[in-house]
Amino acid sequence: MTVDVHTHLMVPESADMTRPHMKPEDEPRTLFSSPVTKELNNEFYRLARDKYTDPDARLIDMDRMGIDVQLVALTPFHYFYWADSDLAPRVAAIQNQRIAGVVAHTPGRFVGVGTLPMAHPDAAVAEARRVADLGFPAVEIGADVNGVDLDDPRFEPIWSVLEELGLVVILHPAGFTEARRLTDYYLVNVIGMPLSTTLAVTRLILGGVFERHPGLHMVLIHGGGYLAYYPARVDHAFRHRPELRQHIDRLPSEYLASLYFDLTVFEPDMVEILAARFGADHVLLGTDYPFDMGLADPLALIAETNLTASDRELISGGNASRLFGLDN
Amino acid sequence: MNNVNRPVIDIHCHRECGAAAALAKPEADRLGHKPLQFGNQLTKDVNKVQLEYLRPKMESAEVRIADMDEMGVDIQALSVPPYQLFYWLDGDTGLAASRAINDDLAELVEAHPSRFVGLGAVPLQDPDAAITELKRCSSDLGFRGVEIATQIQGDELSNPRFEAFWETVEELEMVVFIHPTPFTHPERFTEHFFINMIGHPLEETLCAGRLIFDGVMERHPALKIVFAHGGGYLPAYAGRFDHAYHARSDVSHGLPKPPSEYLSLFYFDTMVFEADQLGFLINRYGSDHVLLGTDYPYDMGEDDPLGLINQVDGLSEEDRNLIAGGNAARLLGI
Repeated sequence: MTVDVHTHLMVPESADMTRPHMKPEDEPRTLFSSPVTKELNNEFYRLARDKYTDPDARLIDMDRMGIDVQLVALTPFHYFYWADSDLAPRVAAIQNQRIAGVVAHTPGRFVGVGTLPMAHPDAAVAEARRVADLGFPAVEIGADVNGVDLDDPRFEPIWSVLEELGLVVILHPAGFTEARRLTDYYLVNVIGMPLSTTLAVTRLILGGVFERHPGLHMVLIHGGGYLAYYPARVDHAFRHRPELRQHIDRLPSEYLASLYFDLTVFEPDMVEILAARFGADHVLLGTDYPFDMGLADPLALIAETNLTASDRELISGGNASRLFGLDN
Repeated sequence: MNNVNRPVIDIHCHRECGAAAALAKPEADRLGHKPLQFGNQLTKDVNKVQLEYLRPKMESAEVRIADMDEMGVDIQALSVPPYQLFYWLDGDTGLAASRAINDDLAELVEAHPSRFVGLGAVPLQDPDAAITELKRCSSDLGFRGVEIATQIQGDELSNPRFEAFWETVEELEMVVFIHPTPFTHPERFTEHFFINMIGHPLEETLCAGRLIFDGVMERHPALKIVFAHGGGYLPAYAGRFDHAYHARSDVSHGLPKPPSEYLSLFYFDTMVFEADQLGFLINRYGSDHVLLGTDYPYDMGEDDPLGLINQVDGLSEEDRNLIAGGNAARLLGI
C-alpha cells in the first residue's frame, strides 16, 4: 500500500467566511509575494481548482501517480489563524467537516488530517477532541501562529491533548513571517518554507516541548526543511552556549531523531541522507499534491535512491501505515 | 596530524582592528552599535565575556601563532570580524576604517610573512570607494582577496549598484570571502542565539540565492567566491531551488541554467561541524571547492579542523591536501 502523507485540500466555504475579515497584514507570506507570483498562483489555483476540492479529480491523479491512500490536510493558506475567537472555531469545524466528507466519499482511499484554531488554545483543545471523534489520526499545524512560535507556553495544553489522544502532528509551514527579503523569485516559498520549519522545530526542541511530551509524534514536511541537513550547527551551539540549555539537557539532534520526515526534497541523494541520518523507518512518502512545488512522481524518486527494497517499502507506505494506524 | 601537505591554510578566521574601531567609535556611540550585542540578555552577556576573553588572541600575534600551531594551521587568511565591516559608517569614514584595517593586516603580514595573508575590507556602502580600496589591496598591499558581508545595510549583493565592484573583482582575480552579518529581520531570532545559529546560514542562503537568480554568476562566472559556514543551508538543499526553477516562471525569470549549476561555481569552507555534512559538501561540489576554515577565535568555531577533515570517509590523500590548503593556495596565489 502506498500512502501520501502530504497533500492539500481547499474548503472554499471557509475562505468565503473569513474573506470579509481579512486584513493584508494578517497574511505576511501573501503580503510579501511579488505581483507576478500572486498572478501566477491565482492562475494555478484556478486551473487546479478541481484537484484542490473534488475527491474524484484527486482519485484520477492518485491512480496515475500510483498512490493508494492520501492523507488529506488543509492548504496552509487556509489556516486563517488570525480569525477571532468567535470565527476561528467555526471555520476549523467546517474545514474538518469537509475533510471528513472527502474521507467518507471513498473510504479506504482518503484519511483525514484535522485543523485546529491554534490562536485560541481552549477552542483548539476542544477541536482536537472532535478531530479524534471524526476518526482522524492526525492534525496539521502551522510552523507559527500569527508569528508566535510554537514553544510559547500558551500552546502547552494543545500539546498535552494531542499526546493524550495519540494524534500525530503534521507540521506544515505557511512561509516565513519576516519575509521582506523573500519577495522575488518566489523565495517566500522556496526559502520561506524550509526556513519556517527550521525555526519552528529548533524552538520546539530548545523550548522543551518534546522533552515534556515524549509521546508526541511529529512529521516534518519538505524533509524537515534545512534543519534535517544541518543539525550539527545547533548541536555545536548547544555545547558552547548557555542560551540553548535553558530547557533541555540532551543534544538537540537527539530530539530531532525522534521525528518523521517527508519526501518533498526532490533529489534521491537527499532522500538517502534522510534515511541514513534518521532511519528509513522515519521517512514518509509525501508529495505536496496538488501544488506546483510538489513531487509529480514520488515512486520514481524512491526508485532512484540506492535504498534496499524493504526500506523503499517502508517509505512508500509501511511507515505511514504504522504511524497513522492505517492497518486497522 | 602530519599526514597533509603544508602549508595548511585557514580561510575563515578573524582579527579585530583597534584603529578602525577608534575611527568608528563616535558614530558607533551615536547609533548605539556595540560588537555582538544582539539577541536576548543572556546572549549579550555571554558575548561580552567572550570578547574580553578573546582580547589576547586578537591583540597578540604570538598568542595567535601559538594557537595556530596547536590547531595545525600554518597560514591564516585573516579577515576582520563581521561587526568591523562598518557598512553603517558614511562613505568617507568607511573608507578610512577600511584603510586602517587593511594597513593593520598588511603590517601583520609583513611581520610574519610565512604565517599570515590578508583578506581586506572594502567600504561597500560606497561602491566607488570600495573599488578604490579593492585596487589598493591588490596593487599596493599584495592581498589576493577581500571579505565582504552577505548584504550591505539590507541591499543584496546583486543590487545593480555593486555591478562595477563585481566587474573589478573579476578583472583583478581577487577572492571574495563572503561572511554573514546578523539577519536583517531578527524579530523571531532573539532567543537561543538564533541570530547566529539560524541567521548566519540563512543570510548565506539568501545571498547565494540572489547572486544566482539575479544573474551575477551568469555575468561573472570567473568570480572566486568563498562562502563561510559551508554556504549555509543552500548547498545541502539545492533541489528546492532547481525544482522551483523548472516549475515556475517567477523563479526562472530568464536565467539560462538551473540554479545548482551556478551554485557549483562557489567555494565553501569546512565550518559545518560534522564529518557527514562535510563529506556531503565534498562529494557534491568537489574536493577542489571546499576550503579549511575555523572561525578562529570564536566559540562557534572549530578547534580541530584537520581532525574534522580526517573524519570524513572515503577521501583520498589528494582530496585532503586540497581541502587543508591546496585550494586556498591556488586561489590566493600562495
